[in-house]
Amino acid sequence: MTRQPTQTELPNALPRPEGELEQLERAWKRPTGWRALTVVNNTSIGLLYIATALLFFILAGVLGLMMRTQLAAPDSNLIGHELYNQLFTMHGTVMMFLFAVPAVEAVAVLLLPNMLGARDLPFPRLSAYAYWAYAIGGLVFFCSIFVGLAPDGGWFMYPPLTSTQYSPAVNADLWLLGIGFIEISAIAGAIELAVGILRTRAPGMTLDKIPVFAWVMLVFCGMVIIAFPAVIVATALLELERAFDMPFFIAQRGGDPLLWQHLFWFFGHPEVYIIFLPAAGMVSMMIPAMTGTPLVGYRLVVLAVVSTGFLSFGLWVHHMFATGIPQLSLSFASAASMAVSVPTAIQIFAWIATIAAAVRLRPLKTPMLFILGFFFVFVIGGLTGVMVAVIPFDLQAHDTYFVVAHLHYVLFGGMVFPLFAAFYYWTPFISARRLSERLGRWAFWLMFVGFNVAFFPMHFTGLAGMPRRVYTYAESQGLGPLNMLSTVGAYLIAAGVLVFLIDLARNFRPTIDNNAGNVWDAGTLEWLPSGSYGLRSVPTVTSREPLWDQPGLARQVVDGQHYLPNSPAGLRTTLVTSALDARPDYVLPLPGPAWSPLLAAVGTAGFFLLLTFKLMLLAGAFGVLAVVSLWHWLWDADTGPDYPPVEIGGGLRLPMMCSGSASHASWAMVLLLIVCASIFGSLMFSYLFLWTTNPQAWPAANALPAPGWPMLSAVMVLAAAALAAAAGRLMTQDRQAALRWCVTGAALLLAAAPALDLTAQWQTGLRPQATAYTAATYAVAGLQALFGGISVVMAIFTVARSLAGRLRPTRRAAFDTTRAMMFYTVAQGLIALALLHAFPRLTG
Amino acid sequence: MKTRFSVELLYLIAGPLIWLVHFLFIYIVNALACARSALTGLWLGLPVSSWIIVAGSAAALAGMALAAWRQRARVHAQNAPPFHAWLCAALCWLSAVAVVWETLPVFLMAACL
Repeated sequence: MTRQPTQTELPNALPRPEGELEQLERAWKRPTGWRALTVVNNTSIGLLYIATALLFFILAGVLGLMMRTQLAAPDSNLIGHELYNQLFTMHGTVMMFLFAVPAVEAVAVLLLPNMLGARDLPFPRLSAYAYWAYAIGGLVFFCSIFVGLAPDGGWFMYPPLTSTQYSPAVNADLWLLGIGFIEISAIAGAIELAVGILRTRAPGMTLDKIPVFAWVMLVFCGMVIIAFPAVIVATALLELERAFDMPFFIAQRGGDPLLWQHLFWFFGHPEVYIIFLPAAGMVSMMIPAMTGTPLVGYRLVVLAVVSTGFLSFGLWVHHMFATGIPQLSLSFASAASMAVSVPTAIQIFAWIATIAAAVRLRPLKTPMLFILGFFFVFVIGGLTGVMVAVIPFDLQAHDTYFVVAHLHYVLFGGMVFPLFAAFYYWTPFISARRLSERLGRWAFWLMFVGFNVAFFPMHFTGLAGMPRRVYTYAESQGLGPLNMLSTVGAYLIAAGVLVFLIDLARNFRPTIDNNAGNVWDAGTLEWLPSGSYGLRSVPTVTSREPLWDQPGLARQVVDGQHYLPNSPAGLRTTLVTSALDARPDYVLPLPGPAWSPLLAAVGTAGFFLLLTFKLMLLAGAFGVLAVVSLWHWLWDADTGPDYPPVEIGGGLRLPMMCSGSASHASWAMVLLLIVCASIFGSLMFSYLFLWTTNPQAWPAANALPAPGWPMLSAVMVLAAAALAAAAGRLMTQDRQAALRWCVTGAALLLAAAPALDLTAQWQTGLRPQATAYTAATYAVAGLQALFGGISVVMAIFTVARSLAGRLRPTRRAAFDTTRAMMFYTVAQGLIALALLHAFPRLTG
Repeated sequence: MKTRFSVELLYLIAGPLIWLVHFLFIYIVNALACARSALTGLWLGLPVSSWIIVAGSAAALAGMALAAWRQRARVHAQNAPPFHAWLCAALCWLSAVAVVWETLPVFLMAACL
């Protein structure tokens, strides 16, 4: 029998002790002055993140306007073709990598903790690091356009156009290194959000009560973790080709440019859904608030979101219909492209049904206007999507303005309109004043009309044969009037965005403590009154819209009658719950403000960007800065049983720490290892793909290193595994000296094994520059060597902690993560050896 | 706790997970068949590779049915929320539609043109 909680059964009684609230406020106080840069509170970082993403939206929008100005009239010479190439490359790149993905991550960083009933994300400094790396790296990357060094190979950077032969300057390198590391920042954010969603939900928030936005962000994180490694591998391979002449994509030496397209689109198509799904999740949150009705078909929407996340991975080939792939293979992708429209349609029908069931809708508020605009625009984009999924049609429309129209209808419609709805909807959460309804209407109608005027004609210019990415066209083609119309529309969009900025300047007054509050009468937890500490106390959730279904909840939360109304030991803490049934597990102390994430981000960004300009010494200095800052940051991160268990209310006494596989750190490590496996998987795919297209480059068995070499390597790797396993037992027994020897030995073996393999390959006369086979072989062995190096660095850290007395059986996260990485490296090493030595023997 | 979560997660997403493996499988089988031409000999009017694809699809559908059925039994036995059984079954159903849909071209298109 289930009991209904009543007023008298709340976990904590009134009145609350004197000074409890003040202590909570002190613990969560934001730093001021110069130290404001060290802030890690999710609301501050989230807001900075959104502001930066918006800045990139405006900057990339200006680039778009410049292109439209150039194209307004035929035979225009306003902008030369060189700058035009940089403009369209930067417009696409910045919009996709520096605006769209960061913007949705930013909204999640800002909102998710409050939406889930947590005080902050589980790794606040990681969000700060991810933000600063993105902001600094992104701004420097953008500035390249002012000196003519911006990438100019299109946002998907196809080789051979971007190979050294046709793009000898550093423009392409800037894209490869700049964007490559911004993806690392996106992955860091995704790991953090996933652990947050799985482990810091309010008690009672079981899987069927999670807000839809949290569901989509969970799927988003899974997609980022699987998809982004593919493009990281692609960029790494192209950079290796450009820097060291390893011919992965050079057909004359057995490479294949199509490899790039496979890797890029295995990331690139899910990317579209990585952007769209969070926006759809925001819509699923806003419509119930706007209509006063719970979302119709919540379960179906969850089904749609999860299945879209998967199906989107089957669509990558539909960007490659015109590349000569066998028709049946294309048909698989074509069928998957149509299959994915089923879950998308489920979502749209669920929204329409919710609106149909509205108990309050009129007058239409600005967020609702943007949502209706999203319906109209996105559905058209979806329909043209089904058109281009039909292969014969796509062969006609490929690389024309029809595709430009389609992708903008999908992305602007599917992401930008919902995002602006979200700006209007969630501003009262983070601002003392809401935004103006009047200016909001102006912004919406200008953007909506402008968008359709700009992009609808492109369907026709495309069908009339106007190719994308041309800087001008002849008057005789008769495309002038439609292009002029598009340009007028583009300026109307810009006017709409300008009105929005004016609205922001007039009405946006950032604050969390005195925010405008629940002006929409919404039902989810982020609309509870909150401060810089998040919620005063963490409620037990019994429905999907707790504010509607649990009367008096806001008052109880503010009064501190629910769980964890204080800051135990004066620390920042949050409640960690179990992943499936959201039962309180432990209280997690969170780190406060620090310089280390900022300095680590400066170091990382500097390292990658300076590498582009081949300033090795300076890049090295920044690399050292990054490593030292990371070391400093992590040195204090591993908490042990420093504090006694704490009473959180309702008779629940929870530990203030957790080690082993149930800890949040272990969950993050598992996700990181999935990223590593995905990177290795993409590289294995590259090796096998090159073998499929060009088997004659693969050597006969007698040209390979003698079998003794890989066997010795395998023995070393297995020995490392045995030492790491032994170290685990020694850790439990607290035998520190022996533990240090085991960890050191395992790390050295893991580093030595790939070194041995590389030496063996080198001694057969194999050189990475010779063929695609040799390049792929060195890439696989090189990746293994990189992981050996990572194991060494982690071992040094673990041994140092042991020597400093900071490693104990009860304080062992550093050891556990090192050991997990070592076991992973062992598994990867064995597979790599099999691929490099057994596979050519079996197939040769 | 974590083991239970990973097992539960695998059941919840069994449908689309099997779909993903199936999709990669059929794509790779066809690509290899066309690149190596060892599997393109005809058998009952279809290339051998296409029969392998059809068999893979049948296995995928059977796997999905099994996962949905077992999850239903698990949820019942563990007294877990019915949502867990529903989500697994619904995802299997949707993924099965996608598998069937992606297998149909095998009967309509030439394998390696």
